[in-house]
Amino acid sequence: MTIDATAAPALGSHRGAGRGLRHPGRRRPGVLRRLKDHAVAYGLLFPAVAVFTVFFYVPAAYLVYISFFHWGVLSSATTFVGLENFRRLFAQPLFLHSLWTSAYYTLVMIPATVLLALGIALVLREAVTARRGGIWRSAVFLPHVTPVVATSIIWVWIFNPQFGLANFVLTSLHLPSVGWLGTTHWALPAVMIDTLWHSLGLYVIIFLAGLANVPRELVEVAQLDGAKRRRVFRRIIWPLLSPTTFFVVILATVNSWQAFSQIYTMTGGPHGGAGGPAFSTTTDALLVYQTAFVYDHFSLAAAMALVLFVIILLLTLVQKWISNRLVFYR
Amino acid sequence: MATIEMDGLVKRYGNDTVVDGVDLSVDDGELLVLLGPSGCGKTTTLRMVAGLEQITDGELRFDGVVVNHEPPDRRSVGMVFQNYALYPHMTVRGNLSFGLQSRRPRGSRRSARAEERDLVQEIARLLELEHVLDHRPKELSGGQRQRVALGRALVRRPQVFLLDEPLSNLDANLRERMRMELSRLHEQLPITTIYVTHDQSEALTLADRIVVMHEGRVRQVASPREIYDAPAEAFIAEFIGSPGMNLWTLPWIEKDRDDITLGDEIRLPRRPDPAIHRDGQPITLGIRPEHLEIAGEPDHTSIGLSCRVELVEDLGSHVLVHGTLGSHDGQRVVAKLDAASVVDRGARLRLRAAPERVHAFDALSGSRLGTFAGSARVAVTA
Repeated sequence: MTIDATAAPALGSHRGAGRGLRHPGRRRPGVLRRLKDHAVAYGLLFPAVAVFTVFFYVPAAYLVYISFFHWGVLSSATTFVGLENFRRLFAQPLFLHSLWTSAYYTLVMIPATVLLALGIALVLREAVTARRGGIWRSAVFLPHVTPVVATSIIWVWIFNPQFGLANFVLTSLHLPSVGWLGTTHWALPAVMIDTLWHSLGLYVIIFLAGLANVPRELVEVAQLDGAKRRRVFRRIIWPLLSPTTFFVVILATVNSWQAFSQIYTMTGGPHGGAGGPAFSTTTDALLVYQTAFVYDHFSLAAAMALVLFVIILLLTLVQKWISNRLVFYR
Repeated sequence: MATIEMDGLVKRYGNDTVVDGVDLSVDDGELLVLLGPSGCGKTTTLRMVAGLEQITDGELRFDGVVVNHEPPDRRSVGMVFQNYALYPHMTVRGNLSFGLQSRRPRGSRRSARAEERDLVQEIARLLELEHVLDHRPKELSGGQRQRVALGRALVRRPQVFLLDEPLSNLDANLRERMRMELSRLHEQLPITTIYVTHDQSEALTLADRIVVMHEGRVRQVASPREIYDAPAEAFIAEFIGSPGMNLWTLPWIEKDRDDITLGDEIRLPRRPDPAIHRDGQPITLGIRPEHLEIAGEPDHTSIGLSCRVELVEDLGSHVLVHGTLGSHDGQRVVAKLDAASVVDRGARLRLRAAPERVHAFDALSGSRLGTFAGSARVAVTA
């Protein structure tokens, strides 16, 4: 059966006339033509794409690649070993220990970060007048812009068991002094205190921005409705702040799993003892570094980094899933 | 219900005085409208009544009891904000019941909760919100949001109801409908109400009494009719009405006892009220545009004011004629004429007004002197 082409518009609907039927001789522009049409846009995008490709996508792809090989920086031979690197990894007690240390570090850091940053932000918003607000906000944010390595060295002095400020404060309060970085029990909490001091400023600023977005009228209406301060916070401010809190939780999770510089500096990295004492501060990120650059097992380190990436990705997906139920977006 | 008394209320921010000695009293069940241009201090006054702003000076009393230092939650006040301020993360039911839950004592019995549910249901029925009780504010229309805001303020049965420009976010048609609904609601629930607006039509249609505010001070407190018919100041005369009253400042020229003219154009055939008399002084004359009419042939009471029609706006129900008084450059005249009037741009037009519709204000202070009622018909030729 043949269909007369000229009858097609009469048989078809309006839709057919607009989209389905093509005029003979009018063709879709080719790739070259489209490139030419959007040359300026592609040209402007190129530098950013090139930098990302060279310094991020290619190394990331190469990391995945070498995690399935036996590979060394100086050796020319690369041998495909399949999942052998991953098998060795999970057979290593130190790797499992480092995963636990990272998890412990993250589990403490997230609530501590959220509670302290939100608390400071609420105090700053309530107690500080607009004129002096800038000074206080700057004071809180300043530690975040200082170099981690430099401030971590200062914290090493603060945590010095003999003449450090931390123990001086404890003894002044009639509390027993602590060995801090020299003990397996207190080394990681000491690192956490340094990290909190260094990073809180950023989170406080984020929470302040979130609080500024909570309309003042809603708080006033709640007050007129008879709600006390705690109820106003719990029922009005906190739900409206949930997108900000979610963002802070994601950021704190990623930063905690990737924590490296402060641990390396505070636990004797420059002297070869990073992660101590007795691996009590050896997080996954630190172990990746040591495996690759101290013990020269690059393939194993690549497999570790890949596992770390998968963990962070899974955690982010879980948080995203939770956020869809708990976070309120206006 | 409650009575409200404001005794010299003052609000200052640093050296800036926003509300400057407001003396007012609101009767039990009355709907009082605070009217004035933006920045006149009406919203600040309302917020002081609500307890959302500290009172710098003066005294605020509810039912004779000073409440200056009472927090908002202890004043039994319901308030509707300009932007409704609905809790966006709660349903309509949540919004309506939040206040009841907040005031419920801990460990209250199940019967109290059932009572709350009934109250929410009742207010939802009154405001026709039953079918959207489980919706969130962003799923509602502007009118529905407005009704939720009203319901949330009313569900607690407050003694004082405060509304801060509640209709300003609605389109013209919806605003008119909601204005009628508010009027109906106040008849059903006669709560002492203070309503803030800069829209004179809202004020004139809703108020039992209107308070006109300007630069932080109360300028006139009167019924809508009185505010319209006998504005206390030239500012109020110009502010109320659409368009506002025509005001011209003209010299008072009195050649002899029976020959008094205002400027060169208006002759007063009879001596006016002594309160108006301003020999040798300028006087501000005011006539509402809707009280001007086209004059017929010149008669002995008509004195020509040579001027010209500059613009004619045909608005369907009426015609607005804009012109300039001839010998007084810059003094403009607007007349609201019958839709059938035929007026040409550039033409000369003779207008007149009944003497009782012609107001006189002191040219310096702007305060009202009276009308020309009793004198002969005043005619203006434009």
